[in-house]
Amino acid sequence: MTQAGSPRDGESGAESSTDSGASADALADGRSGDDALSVSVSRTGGVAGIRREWRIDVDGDGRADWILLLDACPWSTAEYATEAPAGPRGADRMTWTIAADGPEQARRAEVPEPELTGPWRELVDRVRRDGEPVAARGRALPREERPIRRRPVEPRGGA
Amino acid sequence: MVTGIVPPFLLSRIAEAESARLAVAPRAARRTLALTDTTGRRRAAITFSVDGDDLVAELTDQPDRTIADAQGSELLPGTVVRKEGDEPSGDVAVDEAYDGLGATFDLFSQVYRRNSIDGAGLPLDASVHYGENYDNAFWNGERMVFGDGDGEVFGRFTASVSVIGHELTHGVTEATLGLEYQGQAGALNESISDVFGVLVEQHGKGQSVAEASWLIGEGLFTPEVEGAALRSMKSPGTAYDDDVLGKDPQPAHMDDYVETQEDNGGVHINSGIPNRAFYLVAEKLGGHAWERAGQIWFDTLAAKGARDRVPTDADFARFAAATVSAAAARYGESSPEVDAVRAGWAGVGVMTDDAGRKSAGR
Ligand SMILES: [Zn+2]
Repeated sequence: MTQAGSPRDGESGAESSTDSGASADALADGRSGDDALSVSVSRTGGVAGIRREWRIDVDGDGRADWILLLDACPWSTAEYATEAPAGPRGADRMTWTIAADGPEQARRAEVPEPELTGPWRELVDRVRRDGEPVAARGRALPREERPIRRRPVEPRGGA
Repeated sequence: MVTGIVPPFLLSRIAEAESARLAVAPRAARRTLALTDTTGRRRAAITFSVDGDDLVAELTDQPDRTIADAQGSELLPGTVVRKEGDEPSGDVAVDEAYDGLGATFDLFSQVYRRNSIDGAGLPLDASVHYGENYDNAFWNGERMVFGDGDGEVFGRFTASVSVIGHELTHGVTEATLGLEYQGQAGALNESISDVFGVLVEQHGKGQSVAEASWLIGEGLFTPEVEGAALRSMKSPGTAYDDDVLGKDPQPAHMDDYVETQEDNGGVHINSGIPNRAFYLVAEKLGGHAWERAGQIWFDTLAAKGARDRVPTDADFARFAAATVSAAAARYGESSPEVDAVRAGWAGVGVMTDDAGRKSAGR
């Protein structure tokens, strides 16, 4: 378990939504407590059809790094890519859902496995390495206390 | 198996290579030669036997397998490590893939007389050791790809013959019905792969309907996981129930159909419904599931005119109607097979009980 954050006071998702590009420096200045950042990556599909999720809560020192990585990801293109029909050929590929909730904003994208490259891939690998698996039930935080909705079911681009 | 005229290329091969030895072969000896025609596409084995004064030649379609090793990368295909006819490599994933493709080829060839994925001897290509701790197997439109698993939840994906059969069958479905990979059509696509995946295993083991486990991907989970397999066709929703993975979400009836955006509209979830329908048909007919139930599903997939009866965006009801037509075409309108098919779909709420009763003459 490498969970770094403390339980936050309020729901993330935040009052204000500022420009993401300019956010890194401001956030990196080390405001603590209620501006913790939470990143979750989950995959669905595959021959097993079993959903798996990993999550990390970040605050303090590590956050600037994470924000740089988050800002490097092409969120806006991925939001619109979600409804792209599966290719005419092939089956059993997985899809990744990537969500970042911070004090400034919440971002969310769906990325088909073959497109999980570059910063997306780095982000997913890092959350899986440094974060913790989210159990489908039991073990982890009680559902209502989790800062991120486990099954955000707004269709595409909801964040 | 094909009997009949021996093509000229075979005769010339035999004349060159084997005539001298055949002439001195002891009575009743059988010789089998692996042969490839001049286009290099179709492979066959010719088996000679002596029956009285006659020399009998039998031609059997043979697979043309090539297994590559991606060596932990995600670059395909990787390095070729075992080709058709090569000795076992000693790498368990390579050899399981080779044998599993062979078992799948045998089911389609020997039982349904389909020569490979395209019906024309398409080579079977697979890559193993794909990615790092990769928890999946997939069909990419050209080849079957297998990961080694993460070792915590999943072991290597070649460990289950039903999964290898599942992947190869995606190729067959693509070459025949071309079902979309979305919603009910996608769940049918998935179910067809599960159906022939379990039939490969049952055929290989010689199991009857009653003896078979009807599990997809038995043995893929590590011992840490509370679960037997990825899916159960006999009892969808019961394959696993684990703290980390959750409970198998498959429905067994239309009443429990899962509407979701995930997984292309739940293609691996709602496949439980047609899976269970197939099981019910097989259970009703008894014996070997690949014989009648499997034949009806195969005809629905690949018989002449199949694409007219099952459009690429077919829903469950449309597919169900096509299986009834296939059963009627092969076994007759008033046959136990047609009744079993209707009852199977009624059992999962896709056809009404009325249709089932009517066909049963009540
Ligand atoms: Zn599949």
